[in-house]
Amino acid sequence: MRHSRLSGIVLVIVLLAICEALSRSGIVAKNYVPPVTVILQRGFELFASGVLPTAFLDTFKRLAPGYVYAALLGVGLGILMGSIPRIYRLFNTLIELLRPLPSAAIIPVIMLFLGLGDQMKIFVIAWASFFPILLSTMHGVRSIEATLIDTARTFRFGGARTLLMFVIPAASPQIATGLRLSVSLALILGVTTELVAGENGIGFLILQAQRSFRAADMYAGVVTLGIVGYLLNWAFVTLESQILSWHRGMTIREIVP
Amino acid sequence: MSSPPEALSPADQQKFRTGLGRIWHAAGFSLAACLGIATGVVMGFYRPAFSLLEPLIEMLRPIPTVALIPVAILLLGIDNAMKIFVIAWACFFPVWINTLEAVRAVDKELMDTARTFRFSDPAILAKIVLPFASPGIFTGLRISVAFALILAVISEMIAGETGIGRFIIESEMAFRIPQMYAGVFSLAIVGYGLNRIFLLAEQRILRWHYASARAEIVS
Repeated sequence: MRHSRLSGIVLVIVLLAICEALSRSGIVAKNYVPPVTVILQRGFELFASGVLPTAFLDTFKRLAPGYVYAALLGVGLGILMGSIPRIYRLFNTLIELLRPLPSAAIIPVIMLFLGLGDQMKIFVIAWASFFPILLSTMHGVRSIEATLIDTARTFRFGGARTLLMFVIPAASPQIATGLRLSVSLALILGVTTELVAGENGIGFLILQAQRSFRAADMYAGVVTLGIVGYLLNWAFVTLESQILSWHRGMTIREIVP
Repeated sequence: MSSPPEALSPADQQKFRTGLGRIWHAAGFSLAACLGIATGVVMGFYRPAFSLLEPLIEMLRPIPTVALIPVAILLLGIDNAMKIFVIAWACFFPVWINTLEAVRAVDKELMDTARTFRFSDPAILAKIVLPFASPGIFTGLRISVAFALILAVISEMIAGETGIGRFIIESEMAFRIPQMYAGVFSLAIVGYGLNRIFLLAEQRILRWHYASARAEIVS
């Protein structure tokens, strides 16, 4: 569906210009809302001096392992729970009990066990990313057509082969959705842990800037974080459509025989 | 069970109660619900409104809301206004996107039929668009309730003197471990309860919807 974004882009520019004018004329205090151009300039300075890249690197050093643990565990357990009813019954109640816990509420608990360092943050990131991956994998596996599995059984395929050749490919779109949803959760929890107990990272940079009244730095941090969030999501959507293009081809062929 | 555990002093009990009471900050949720539904419906219904607002919203959406907590502290202080703003911000996007998609998925033939009968736009909105989009809108609201609770807790942990999030983190810092777990569990119960209440409300309010869906299948 194509549509003109022109009016919308004009609106964004007009709003930014109004902010700039309000701040420059002193109607809005500069200490609170600096002019947009100053924020941009500050952002470039922080980028060039390596402050922002270092902060992001620190955040990603925790984000990546936390996310990978969650992905491995979530997909693994999701496949097991989706395909073996006994394991589903074993874990389901536990999962349903733990899932409604706001992930932020476990931060203090984990702080108690793992301290304020990276271990705690990685754990919290992994915890939060785990549930969407687990649930979507499980649903993906459970909604596989029984015919597929029966066919595999007829050909006397072993469990491992059925899993690799049938279950995982058929459930992959839902697994991909879970993985994509979790990326933004990982980023949110990564920033949250830095706000609550930080020593470095982008969330810590933003909070420090606010506490020392460097408003331009703070906004620059928020804007870059928005850009990173957007790029992460974009990267996942692109990867998903690349990797799963065979899947779409298959379903279309099914519809148009 | 009238005797409280000895670890909990009367002052702490008081703190716990006022802490749980702070959940009214979820008022930010109602603000987001009204705004999100209104923008979603207007943008889904009027193409020019969509073109006008979509770039702005899509520009703001990728920013993790927690990163706005410092901004909100700077602009609004550490009190109620800040928390309500942060909660409203986080809740807006799920309500908005679910409403928008639900409105866009409304059967075009139905709307054209209504237009043929010279229904005015407000009448089409009230009689066709809103009822048909309501399941999607409810999904958005339910997702947002969870967001509201999470953001309330996070903003209390970062700033402020009261609230269940503050209660939990202060208990942890003071090494009052049973108290900390009590806070976490009560939060889990509140989260579970809220979700339950929403599902029940959804089923009640949308009963006609499910009923008509069933009728279609049967007939």
